Amino acid sequence: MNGQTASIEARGLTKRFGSTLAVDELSFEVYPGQVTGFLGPNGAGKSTTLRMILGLDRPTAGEALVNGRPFVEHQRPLFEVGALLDPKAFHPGRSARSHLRTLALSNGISGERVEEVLDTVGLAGVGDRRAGGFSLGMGQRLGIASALLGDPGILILDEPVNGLDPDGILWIRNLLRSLASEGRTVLVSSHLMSEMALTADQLIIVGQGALLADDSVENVVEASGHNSVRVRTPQADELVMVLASEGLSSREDNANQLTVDTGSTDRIGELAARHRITIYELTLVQASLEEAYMELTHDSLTYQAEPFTSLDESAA
Amino acid sequence: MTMTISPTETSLPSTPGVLDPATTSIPARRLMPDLLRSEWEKLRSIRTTFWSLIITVVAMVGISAIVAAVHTGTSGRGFDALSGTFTGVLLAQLAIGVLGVLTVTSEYSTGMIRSTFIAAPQRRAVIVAKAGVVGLVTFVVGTVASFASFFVSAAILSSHGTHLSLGSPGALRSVIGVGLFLGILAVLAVGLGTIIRSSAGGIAALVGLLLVLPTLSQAIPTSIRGSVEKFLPANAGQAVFLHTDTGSLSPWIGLLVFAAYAAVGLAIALVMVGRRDA
Repeated sequence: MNGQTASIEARGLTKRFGSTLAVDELSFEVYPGQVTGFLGPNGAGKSTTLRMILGLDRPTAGEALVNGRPFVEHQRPLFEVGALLDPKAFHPGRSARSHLRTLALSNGISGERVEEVLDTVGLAGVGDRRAGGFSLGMGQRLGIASALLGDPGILILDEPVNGLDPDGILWIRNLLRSLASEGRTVLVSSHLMSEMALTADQLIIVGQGALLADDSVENVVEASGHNSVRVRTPQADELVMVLASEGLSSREDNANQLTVDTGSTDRIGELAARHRITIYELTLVQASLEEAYMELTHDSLTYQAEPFTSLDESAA
Repeated sequence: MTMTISPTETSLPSTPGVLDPATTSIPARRLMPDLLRSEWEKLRSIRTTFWSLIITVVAMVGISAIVAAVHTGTSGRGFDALSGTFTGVLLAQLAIGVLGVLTVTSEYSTGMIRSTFIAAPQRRAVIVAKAGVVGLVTFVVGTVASFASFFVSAAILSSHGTHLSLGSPGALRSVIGVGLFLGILAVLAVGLGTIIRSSAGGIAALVGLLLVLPTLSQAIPTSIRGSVEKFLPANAGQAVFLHTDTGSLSPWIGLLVFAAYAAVGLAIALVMVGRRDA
């Protein structure tokens, strides 16, 4: 990432609603040419962060820059940033075509482009139908059409696969990948780790409004350190004792299977050989992204209890 | 020294990549015309607009005809033919006010406002464009309806011997004044809608301003009631076409006072829309 310029930059972004701290000094950078997953449990402050980036919410502290400037300073932002925040962000009485036209006109975008994006998202056939009658999936497609209107270099999408059927999910996944491969910046939020594992290259993980991780998908999995070794052996009890004497903790999954929390397959194999323990299977079990995520977000909950006093102090 | 800092670098320390092709290809056009076009498309693509304007025209022309027909038998004493002509405006003002409020509050209630502000983060300019379009459309339709109701009324009255024409004292002023009153009212309603953001609240505020406030003023001590009443928004604005009240402001002064209310309302709205989270 070094040498490239961040298209989206959050610097100490903070949002407080009354006594609730929704976003807590969040700083991160988002780069072009890849899909960046913005992950966190529900209520982690993802949407609020995206709304601050898009100038809808005013940060309590800090700032967010898009192409080096606050979003609200952009004239005709549709050419630079396309956003989908809410699949129902349209007037239900207006047709899909009219809805897109109102947005296009405000940025001086032609009516032909409206037809193009209707085509791209597969709504050309229902362009004159009232958008209020659309399913959630069609609403998402309409939102994506509006995000694509200005052919922007940056796309920001909040939970775009919510409510979509498998076809729609696949469609979004491929769309995001191809937009990123064209060199665009794609920032997509989700609370579903499994979805991000398939779509994202880079992950920004938040919990309780604070940054937990900002790294590539592989590094997040690796750094979770939750790789374990599965051993199948008829002498499980003996192996547990041998491992324990070497300081390796393990647990018996059943009568002839162990899971060793740490240690390499090589070391466990050597130990077993030295003590003449029969091994049927020795497998390195890599942590899934899901587990890495659970671990990170779980830590954030226990970690979060402390800073409350320091926050009060800084506010005072 | 190999590092020399050029003036451009110091003025833009954190934004070396801003000049990407996408940024530079943005047409250097003025924003307001595009925002006006966008708001016009919004207004004309919603059924609420159609129905509000239909109600306006039907109420004004219909009630004007009814009033004229009812009074033809007893024309003369106590009947001001000109004021009677515009009785329907008292209903039409509600339809126009609701339309003005809803143009803003329906965006908030549906979530459209976020799409709007993401496409055009210049929120104040968006509200000004909205007020401009709704105000202008209302003025045009209101003026057409005003002329129509005047001629319908004049025709019915003349068949019973009461003469009323655009040449009659104050007639032309009243007819045009109705259009202006409705146009300004629409701007005031856009301001109310922006300040209150909820449809129910905005409409309640509008009804309060137009109908309840004049009634409440009955509670004011009679010694000063007259001088307070004539400055109430509805009374001031209606002075341009209702002549029955001797205690009202002069027609154009009244309309100016009403326009001042609208300007203040819009100004408060512009301050608030910039400050609040959308």
